[in-house]
Formats: sequence, C-alpha cells, structure tokens
Amino acid sequence: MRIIETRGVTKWYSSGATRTFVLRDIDLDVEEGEFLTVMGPSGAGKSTLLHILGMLDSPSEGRYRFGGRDVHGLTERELTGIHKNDIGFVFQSYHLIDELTVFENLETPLLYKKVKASERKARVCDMLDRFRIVGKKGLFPNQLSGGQQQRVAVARAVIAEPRLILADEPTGNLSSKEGAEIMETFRELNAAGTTIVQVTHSEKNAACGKRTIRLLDGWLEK
Amino acid sequence: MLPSLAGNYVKTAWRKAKREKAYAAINLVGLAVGLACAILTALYVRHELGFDRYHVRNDRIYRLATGVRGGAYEAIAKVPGPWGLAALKEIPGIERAARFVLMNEILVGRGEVRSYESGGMYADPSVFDVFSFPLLRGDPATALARPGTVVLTESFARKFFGAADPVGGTLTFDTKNDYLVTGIIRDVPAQSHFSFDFLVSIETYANPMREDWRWNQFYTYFLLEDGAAPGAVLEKIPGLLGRHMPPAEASDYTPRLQRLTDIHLRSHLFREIQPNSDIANVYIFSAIALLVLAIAGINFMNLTTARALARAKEVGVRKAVGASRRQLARQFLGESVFMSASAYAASLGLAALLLPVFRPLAGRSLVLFGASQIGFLAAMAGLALAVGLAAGTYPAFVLSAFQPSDALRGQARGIRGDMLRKGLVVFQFAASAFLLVATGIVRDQLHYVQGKRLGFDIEHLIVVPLREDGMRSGYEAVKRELRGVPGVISVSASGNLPGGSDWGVPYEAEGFSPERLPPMRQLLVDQDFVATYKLELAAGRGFALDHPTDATAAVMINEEAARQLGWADPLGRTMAVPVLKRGPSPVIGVIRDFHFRSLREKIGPIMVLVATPEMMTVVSLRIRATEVPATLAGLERKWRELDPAHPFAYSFLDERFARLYERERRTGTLLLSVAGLAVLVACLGLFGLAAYAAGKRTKEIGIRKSVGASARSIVVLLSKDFTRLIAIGYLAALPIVVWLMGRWLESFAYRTAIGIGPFVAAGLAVLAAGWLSVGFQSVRAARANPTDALRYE
Repeated sequence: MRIIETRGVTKWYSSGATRTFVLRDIDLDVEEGEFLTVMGPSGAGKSTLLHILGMLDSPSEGRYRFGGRDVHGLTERELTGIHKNDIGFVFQSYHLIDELTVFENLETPLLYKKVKASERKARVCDMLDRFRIVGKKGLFPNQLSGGQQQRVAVARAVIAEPRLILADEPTGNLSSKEGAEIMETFRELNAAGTTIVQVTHSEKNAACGKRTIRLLDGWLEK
Repeated sequence: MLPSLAGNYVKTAWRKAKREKAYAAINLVGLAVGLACAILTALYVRHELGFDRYHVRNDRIYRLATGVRGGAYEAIAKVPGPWGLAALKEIPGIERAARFVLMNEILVGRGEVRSYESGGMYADPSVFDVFSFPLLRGDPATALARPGTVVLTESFARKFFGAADPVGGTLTFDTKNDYLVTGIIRDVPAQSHFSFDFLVSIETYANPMREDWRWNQFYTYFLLEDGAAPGAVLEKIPGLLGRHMPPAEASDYTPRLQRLTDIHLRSHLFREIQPNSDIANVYIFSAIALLVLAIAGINFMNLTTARALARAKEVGVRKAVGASRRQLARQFLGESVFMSASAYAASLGLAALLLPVFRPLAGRSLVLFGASQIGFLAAMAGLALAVGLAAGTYPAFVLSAFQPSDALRGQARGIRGDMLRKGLVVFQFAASAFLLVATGIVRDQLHYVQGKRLGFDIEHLIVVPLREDGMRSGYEAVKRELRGVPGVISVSASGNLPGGSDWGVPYEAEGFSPERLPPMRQLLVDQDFVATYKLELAAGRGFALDHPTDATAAVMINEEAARQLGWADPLGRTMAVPVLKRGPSPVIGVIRDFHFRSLREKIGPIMVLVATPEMMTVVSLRIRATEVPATLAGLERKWRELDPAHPFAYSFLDERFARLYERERRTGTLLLSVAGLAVLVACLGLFGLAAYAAGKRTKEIGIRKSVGASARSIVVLLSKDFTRLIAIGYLAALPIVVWLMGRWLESFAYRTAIGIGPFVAAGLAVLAAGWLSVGFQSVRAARANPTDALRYE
C-alpha cells in the first residue's frame, strides 16, 4: 500500500516581487514499510520536503496524498489526528520540551491521544527500557548528552506507534557511535514494519535505507 | 480537558516561570499592582454607592428641601419646622415624618468628664420609625417623647458613662441643663449622609422660631406609604403652603423631594447636614483605576506576546506530536488565567498593605476583609480573571497560530504584533504622563488658591466661640477684657465668619421688586470687624460706636453687590432684611471685594450688618505674629475668669480656610500616588520589553561590536526606539490633559493658568523612568562578549 504520493509539489517563498523556490515539481511515491533516504547539499530543500510530508508545512502548489487521502482537503481535526496517530518526528536538534523531564516528554504525545494513566505509564516505562534511558527519566533535557536526548526524541516519536517516522538529520549533532545507535534503532523499527523517511548528509546513514533519492536546488534528481 | 494534560501544562508553565524569574516577576508584580489599585478603588466606589442603604425602608424615604426666591442659593436642604408636621397631617401618602435640627457645639458633662461636643441633633420621636437606628436599650416609642431626654450612641455613652449603665442616668448640657438618658443605639454607620453622637428630643428645642413657617431650620424626612408616588406628594406641597401662609409668601418657595439614597452623591444644596460627596468623584476614581489596570493588562499582554518567540519551539513540538490549535490556545490562556489568579492573591496582600495609606486619602473608613466582603472579593476575583482572559487571548491566539515548520526553525513569522506592541507602549506612557501632568496642575492650583490674597488679612486671626448667653449679651465687655491681653491687637465679635458660614436670607433693596433682586449673602458683625479683618473700603465708612444708629439702621455692601444692584453711588441707598427684623437702612460704606468663601466660587454680593448681642456667636482676635504661644496662654487665663464653665477653645482662621480645599488636597495626593504606580507598572513593562528587544538583537549587537561599535553606541541604538515611543506617548497625552484639566480648573472661579512646570516635570519623569528601565538592559546587552552573542546562531 502506498503511504505517500506527491504530484508536482512545489514550494516557494515570496519576498517582495520575487519568488524563491525551495521545491520544484516533486513527484514522490513511498510504499508502506519502505526506508527512504533523502540526500542533497545544504539548501536543496530536504527539510522543507520532510516538513511538507509531515504536514508541518503546506506546498504552494501540487498535490499530496497521505495513505490515500488528499492532504489539502483535511480539516484541522483530521490533521491533528494524523500527527497524533500516524506520524512520528525526529529532528536534528532533538526538540524536546525543555521544561519537561524525560518521562514527561515521552508522556506528552499520549496525553494528547487521551491514553489512560495506567496504560500511559506502562508505555512510557516500556520506551524507557527499550531505549536504555530508565535512569534518566527524572532528568531535564539540558542534563542529557546529545545522544541521550536524541534517544528520548526517537522514543517520543515511536511511543504512539506511528506508521511513518520522519527524521530530519537525526544524527547530525551526534558522535558517530551515538549516530550508529540511532540508525540501528531505525533499522529495527523498519524491520517491524514502520515506514521511515530520513534526511541525511551521511552516505553511511543512507546505506541503512532501502532506497535513496537526491534533491538539488529543489529538483528531484531522476 | 484531561487533568493529566492540565498537569503537563502546569508543570511547563511553572518551570518556565522558575527559570525566567525576572520575566515572571515583572508580569506578576505589574498585574498585582494594577489589580490592587482597582481593588482599592472599587472598595471606595462601592462604599460611596452604598450610602444610606442600611435603612430598611430606604426606597421610601425622601427629604424635603426647597428653593427660596431671593435666597442666595439654588435650594436649601432644610425647611421650616411646621412644614413637615402639616404635610404629614394633610397630604395623603406620607406615613411618617421625622425632623432634625443641628445642635451647636455644646459643653457636655457628667461629673469630672467634660468636653465640647458637636455631634448632637434634636430629633422627632418618629426618627426610629423612619430610619433604621435600632435601640439597644430603651423604648423607641417613648425615648424621645418628652423634653429633656437624650438617646446616645454606644461609643458616646461609653465616653461619659464607661462601664456604668447610662439609661436612667443624666448628662449635663451647657453646665446647667440635665437631660435624662432614655436609650442607647449602635453607632451610626459610616455610610450615612448624616451622622450624630446623640439625639435630644425635639421638644427640648426651645427656639421661639420653631413654629415659624418661614424659618428654614428643620431637616425634614418623610417615610412614604408603600406604593405612594413621591411626585404626587410633592405636587400637593405648594397647596399646603398656600393654606398656611399668605399667598405672596407661599409662592416664594419651590419645594422638592430628594430620594434618601441620592443625597450623598447627588445633592449639593445650601446647608447640607454634612458636606456630601460627588458622583463625579466616583467616575474620576473609576476611570483612573481602569487606566492603571489597562496599563497593567497591556504589560501582561505585551510581555507574553514578546516572549512568544521563546516558546515557538514548544509550540512546534506540541503540534508535531498532535496538539490541536485549540488545545494550545487553551494551554496558553490557562497560563494567563493562572498568572492572573496568582496576581490576584498578591494584589489582595498589596491592597491590605496600602489600605491604611489609602483610607485617609479617600476620607473614608474602608474595610477590605470580612464576612460582608465575600461578594466583593469574589467580584474582584472575577475582574482579575477577566483581565487575565482579556490580556491572555491575544498572545494565546498568536502562539497557537504558529506554523509548526517555522516555529521549529526558531522563526516566528506569526508575530506581527510589533506595531501593536509599540502602540501599547505609547498608550502606557501617554496614560502615565497624563496622570503626572494632572497631578502637577492640581498642585499648582492648590498652591495658587492658598497663596492668593483674599482681600483681608487671614494670618494670625484666631476665632473663639462664645458659648454663654452672658458672654453674648455682654460681648462689649468681653472684647474689652480680651483686648487687654498682651499680644492681642484687636477683637471683633460676630454672628458668622468669612469662610462659608455667611447667611443667605431674603432681603429688600430700594427700588427693586423682590423677583428682580440678585441673590445676596449676609455677614453679621460688630463695629470692630472691618478693622480687625483689615478689610479695605472703596467708599463711605465702616461701622463705628460713635454712630449709635449703626447698630440698628446701617448696612455695608461689597463692590460686587453695588455692581449687581446697579448702584453707581450706593451710599445712602436703603436695604432691609425682614427675617432679621431690620427695616430699611442706608448703605454707609462699600467694602472692596474680598473672598468670603472658597476660591471655587466667584465673589458674590454680600451685605454686612451689625448683629444684635444675642446673635453674636464668636469673637475673632488679631494677635501679634511674635509670641503666639504666650498670647494664647494669656487668653486662656483671661477666658477662665470670664467664662469659667466653658474651657477655652480656639482655631486659626487660615486653617479653617485651608480646610475648604481638603478635597482638592486629597485628590492631589491620590493622583500623585496613582500616577506613581502607573509609571512604575509601565516601566516594569518597558523593562521586560527592552530585555526582549535586546535579546532579539543579540546577533546584531554581536556583529556591530565585532566590526568595532562602542558599548555606548550600542546603548544609544537600543534606547533610541523606546525613547521615541515614550516621547510619542507623552506628546499624545498633552492635548487630552490640557483639555481635561482645563475643565477641572473651570470649577474654580479663581484659577492659575496652566503653566509649563507640570509638563516639564512629567516629561522628565517619564523619560528618566523609561531610560532607567531600558538603559539597564541595553548596558547589559552592550557589555556582553560579542562571541557569545554570535555563537547563538
């Protein structure tokens, strides 16, 4: 089953009379269970593409179908539902909420999903175990190393059991060892059936994926 | 909302506040100060609006007042004694009538305890039927029925009887009359347009004029029957007067009925029992409080919005994990409400602290906490909540509207509120400048009023009441004795005094029909008055002992009286005052205009006559400026010889005049304190905004410094914007303050011109305060190491 399908997706920003194009005419299909890597130099539009795929941003032109549904026609409620249930995000700079502990950060998506307290606790503990951060659960993000923060961020992306994980240079700020751990996790998730789209500069990371596409100046290289 | 999600929000908000203490404190303190200001004002306003409502039947109680043709006033608050009784008998719809007559200050004694008391009133027995003054002891039906009976308030009773039982005991009035105490009532509540310490039965009031149909001396209140229309009662009063008086006299009166609960704020008649307040005051107070509250609310809104950038990332993350826009808006609104609730708690403490300072400014005994205040405190909590919601809505809207992709990149293109924010800062400083300038103008006017030459010499004049009949009839001898005391320059006895106690009774003037006469006031004096007060003569001569007819058939007038009567040469024209049994008497002198009343009023026409000995109530003494204490001591010794029964009591005339401007002085002080608070709150906001602005320009500052900008130029750069906003706010306030304060000044017939002083002072004050708040932040930003600034990128 096809989870992502874009046709002619284009993104520009206008400043005054001139338009700056970030993405041009992107046709992209991703099947359920794929592990796709998006590569390209800085400014090629990788992050923008990922944000559009994650519905954090909207295309200026073109059509985007997610799981067979046209994203353009979604209501805010449906969009929120997709964020809650279907997509998990991992960012280069982790983006944990600074005021919340590791435990509370992990819990937040479940709160928005209105998961019951007992189940919430079980699932958070499960994640803490799985990502080997049990000892850190009471700490705040600024008390963790980059690799630890990213493990929390991945755990947070995974906790709601999404169909799709979108990762924006997840290892960009990490040491190679920490990076390798994160990539290993992604491989396991993918093996278990989760679709993954990652943006990266690293050929090594790309090798973890099953397919690689390249962006240059907003164009998708054929 | 799920409690757990709420918990998540609370944790975030609380930890954020802990991390950014300064910002949280500014927000909290600013809002708390604004709320405290509003609470105190609301307390005052509620107090003012609640006057006389404790009387159970207040909706049916009316006071009878009347306009009098030829009287120098619009209407007088008291009417002749027989009116009320006749109305009760002859006009349907009146259930009860109760009348009061004010007692002069009188010496009250019981054994060793003696003191001058001015809180007495003669009252009809029906006072307890009309008003709600429940008797703690005694029988309301009989307490004031007989002559020589008196009902005391609790604290008055305690003063004279201590722990002993007052009922059945006696008090000695004026050293010779023993009155029987027949009842005790609770002290009169503060929210009353009249108050008293004791009531003497009206039968005791032995004035021969009490049955006179033309002598306005009785404050007369009606309790109307249930359902009776006051208009219908009023309509019948002229007919009533016509039945009892000659028609020509009856038509001199235009009676009116005043609702009891309207008197305190809306009645400004001649001879009110006690000076009333003014509804305008209530409005002004409310407006000022709202202004300060608005300033505080704006701060809150401004700072929260400005801080939105710092929360952009959180918004982005929450959106990415599935928060809806509505949930986010609710979260931020919740934070505002939480903040305003905390501010409310703080403001209660603040208000309680400020209350002792505020009470004398408001001139009222206000209570903040107490069982009766629960509704009020709840209403204030509601106000706090409303402010929190109002001020929190905009930031919540802005924050929740962020595009998540922008927010995560640390850009917040949603924030377009820069213009709005600047506009609000301008408003805050306009309001602050307004209050400061207004304060300055009030002070200038007070200064002017007190420095103005009054047309007579007010300094070193002391005033001593004559309390003994013998002292009055023998006043010439008393004057002689007092003049012999070293330090006394001259002495004058009189029936009333400049400063507001002049009379305004009907009079006649040669060649005028009654309806064409201008209103005229009267001073009743002796032959030494003009010299003692150092009045200046424009024509003719003053009263003199060697002209025996001066005491019975001569008047003096002021220049204004001559002008209004149209007399180019008033000397020899005749005037009469029937009420004083003074037949046509020639004008023997014209006094240069002098201020015999407050400078709020234009000098009006006044006539001066020599009073009969029994009308003399007071002596005025001009004493030498040096050795005042010695002179006062000598006077006291002499007084003890003359009137051993009455202790010597005196006041200085200039102090009595100063009291005329008590309300203005209080307004001035109050304005100053509120203006101070407003500036403080506005500066707190500016402080926060400057921090934000400096933070936003961290990179710019780093770059400028790396290419060689000096710290000073950075400070100037950062302060420039805010200085402009302050200046715009200040300029915007000018036309409004000039217009409004111009109108306020117009309430004075004699007023200072609006000078440059208050404007300069207020301008410097807001600028200095603004620079201090901004400067601190700017210097900190400018001093920072440029590499630190740039590393943030």
